[in-house]
Amino acid sequence: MSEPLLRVEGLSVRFAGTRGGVQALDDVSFEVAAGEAVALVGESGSGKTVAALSLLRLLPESAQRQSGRIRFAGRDVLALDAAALRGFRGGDAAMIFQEPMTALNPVLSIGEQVAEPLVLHRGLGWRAAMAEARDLLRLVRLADPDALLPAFPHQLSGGMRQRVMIAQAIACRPALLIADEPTTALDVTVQAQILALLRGLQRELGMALLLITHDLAVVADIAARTIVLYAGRVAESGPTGRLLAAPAHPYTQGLLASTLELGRGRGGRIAEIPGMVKLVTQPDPACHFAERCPRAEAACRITRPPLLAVAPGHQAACLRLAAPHG
Amino acid sequence: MLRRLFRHPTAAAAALLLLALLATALAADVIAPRNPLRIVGRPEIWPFADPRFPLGTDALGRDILAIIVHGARTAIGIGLVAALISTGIGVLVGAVAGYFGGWVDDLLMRFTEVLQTVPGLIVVLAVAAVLGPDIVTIVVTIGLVSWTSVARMVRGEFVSLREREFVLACRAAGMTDRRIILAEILPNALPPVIVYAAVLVSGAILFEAALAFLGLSDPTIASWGRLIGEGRQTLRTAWFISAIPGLAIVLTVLALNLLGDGLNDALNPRLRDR
Repeated sequence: MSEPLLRVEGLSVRFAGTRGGVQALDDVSFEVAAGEAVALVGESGSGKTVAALSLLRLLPESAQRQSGRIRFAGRDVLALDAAALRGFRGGDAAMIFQEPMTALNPVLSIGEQVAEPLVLHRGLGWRAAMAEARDLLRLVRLADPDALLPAFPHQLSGGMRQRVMIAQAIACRPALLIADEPTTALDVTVQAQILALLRGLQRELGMALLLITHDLAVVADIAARTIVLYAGRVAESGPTGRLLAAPAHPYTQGLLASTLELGRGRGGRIAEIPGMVKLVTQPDPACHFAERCPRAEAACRITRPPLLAVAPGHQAACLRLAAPHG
Repeated sequence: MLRRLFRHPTAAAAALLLLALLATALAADVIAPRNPLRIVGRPEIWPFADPRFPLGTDALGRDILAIIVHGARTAIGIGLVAALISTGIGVLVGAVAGYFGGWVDDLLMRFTEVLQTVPGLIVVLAVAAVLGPDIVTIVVTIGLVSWTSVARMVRGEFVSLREREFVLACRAAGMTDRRIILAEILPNALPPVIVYAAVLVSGAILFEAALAFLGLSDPTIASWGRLIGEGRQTLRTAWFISAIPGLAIVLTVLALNLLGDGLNDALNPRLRDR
């Protein structure tokens, strides 16, 4: 198999702090092939945003002991110098953020902000960049781009702003688009539109998409493969269809059971996973999910479960996989 | 923004007064074409007594009107240049300290705090005494001693703005730190700086007036402060020699401060729609 576009190997990130700090990522590995849509799923605190930020080396300085390797198109991202890193960010890999209200600069016009990466990475003049910005706004299905170019962010709705963010991110036709909870701050109807837009663009432009979300319902429509993170570790990864139909890890099963579905469970309680994501201060030899796991046994609290193949391309980190279900 | 500014009656009046002052300064050579420091008549002519000298003459027989209009030019020049210097340094230091944080911030802010404890007027006096009363030296020195509050203000703005998501987005788009500071964050941090710049201009004018009053400013240039200082000796017999330039300074500084307040209200989004 040829080398994937993005390969993350054994990534560990720690935040220093009082009371022992936080182990945000612990030996996380995954791959994204060129043109592939992959979802990174987890609840708050699972480390999914840290993983996304570390891909572009955007972690704050309080993040330490970054071990592991990140390879992008044959290059070692962690070894890039400042100039190469700037070219990589925005040029090869771009990112969109959760909060369309704050992720655009309030004092610059929409046109300037969409044209900026073109000036920066492709060396276009402002006039040419503005013309291309107009095309980009059309590409993200914004009506009347000519009126939008001189507008300011506060004049746009949340959904329009998120489209502007996407236009800005895809301006230089990156090989990889990282979308960190791109729809969380939006209305449900707008969410569906933005997701459809992302999926359309991903196919149209042939770029890889790494979608970060806490919402499994979002994953089904868009991602070919899904990686489930739990407390800084990969709990399960596999083809989305298979993972949703036959989840192997008890955490994924719990997540799926707590997903709302129309017409189901009316009047009843929504299933939930008891407890909260464990705050991991040290890499410890135990399954992080053991405390909340209905199938945990003594061994789970003293052994770190390795990622085991459940089926071709489908892996889960659970000791009880080998044992008969009980 | 201008409309909002002029909705404020005091700010509008202040702006008009400053425009008049600016016009006076620009037209100084037309109103009083000769060197204002030349002796042109009898000393101590009272204002309105002689049509040739509408504001009278000083103890040496120099035309007070000529000194006032040429002094306006001096005051505006000193105020603008010194304010430009101090705003420039303050923005630079504050932006770098606030954006980068960490030891850069510590170093720059400790340095700023040390400078803040040094009384500015004493430094300007000492420099004027050592390097001689040259107007360029004086303006530069005034600029160099008054940037500290700008730096602290800009730093505060940057510290809060750098945490905003759009800055992260800019870094994710591969922008250089310099570009993020100058093109992305600075425009967001400017309103309070513009307001404060008005105060800096008036501060610089007062600085020069104080220096001239003590006779340490450039003697070859017409200056309001110098006229006040010289009028001091004849204060009992010809008080108008000090009073006229004093009034000019009071009006100018007052107008600048009122303009600053008006700008503050006009630029402050919380007060905008009241």
